[in-house]
Amino acid sequence: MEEKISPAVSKMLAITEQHMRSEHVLFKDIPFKNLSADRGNVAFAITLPTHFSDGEEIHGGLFTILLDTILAVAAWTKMDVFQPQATINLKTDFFASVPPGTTIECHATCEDIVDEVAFCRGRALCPDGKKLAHAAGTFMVGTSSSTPKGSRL
Amino acid sequence: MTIIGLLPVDQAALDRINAWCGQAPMANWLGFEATIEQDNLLYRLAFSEQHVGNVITRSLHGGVISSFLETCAHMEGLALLDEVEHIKIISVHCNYLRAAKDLDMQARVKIVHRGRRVAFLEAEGWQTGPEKLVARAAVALRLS
Repeated sequence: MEEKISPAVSKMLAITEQHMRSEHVLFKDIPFKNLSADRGNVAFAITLPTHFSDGEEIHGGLFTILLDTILAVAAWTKMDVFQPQATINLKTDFFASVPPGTTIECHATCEDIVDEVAFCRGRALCPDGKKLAHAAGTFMVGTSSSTPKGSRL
Repeated sequence: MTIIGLLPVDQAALDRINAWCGQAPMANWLGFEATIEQDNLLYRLAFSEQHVGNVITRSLHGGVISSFLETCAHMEGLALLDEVEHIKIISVHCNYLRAAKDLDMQARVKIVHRGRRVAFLEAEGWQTGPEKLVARAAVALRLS
């Protein structure tokens, strides 16, 4: 049975999404649409912009950027209270690519948060199911000091 | 064949990298540049506002760092494995060691092992100095 996202987290995610669409320099030029969200699971449709291409196809680095982001969003949906997080590590496997302008889907799951570490996995795929990239990552949840370690999302 | 460590490079290797950069808008987006320093390749990400992940802490986005190190490893392969016709990235496993600030980043790559069909490389990235790594990535390349 699907569990609902905490209301406090849900509110912060809505604010974050609005910021990403309108002001965030990295994300505002990447059209995205939320397909689904419940506790620990999210899915987005994303149209891949030309400036991330490598010749005729999209550079794999964009899949890494998108999956790092969406894995962290999945971790947020698992929390009771919205907290900052930093990527500890991320492994991306690349299957294939697609031309710029293609709309793909990214799905992510936060398996669990244990001892302030979120364990997440996700995949990027074409709507027809063609696999593009898979990722698995861990994220440090919360901060222990004013100068947090790790790469902030 | 196994190759360990940093390998000396020549201008032809740099030319191959620059040719790739010329056809990849992603290289421009990353602010990617390669130079030869002390006979080895040194890679640079020129900081830009679009690389920021968290606008409050002003740190580089983790995916951007991984993407930069992946590109460095790809270019090292392109530069040094010149008899290989095609290189494809299999996987990148990036560990984030320190917070990466809103600054340029530099990186070097070591070829850890080169087989007939696969090469394993390690990319190390830093900002204020190589003794303070911000990230390290293990990259596997498919050679054909």
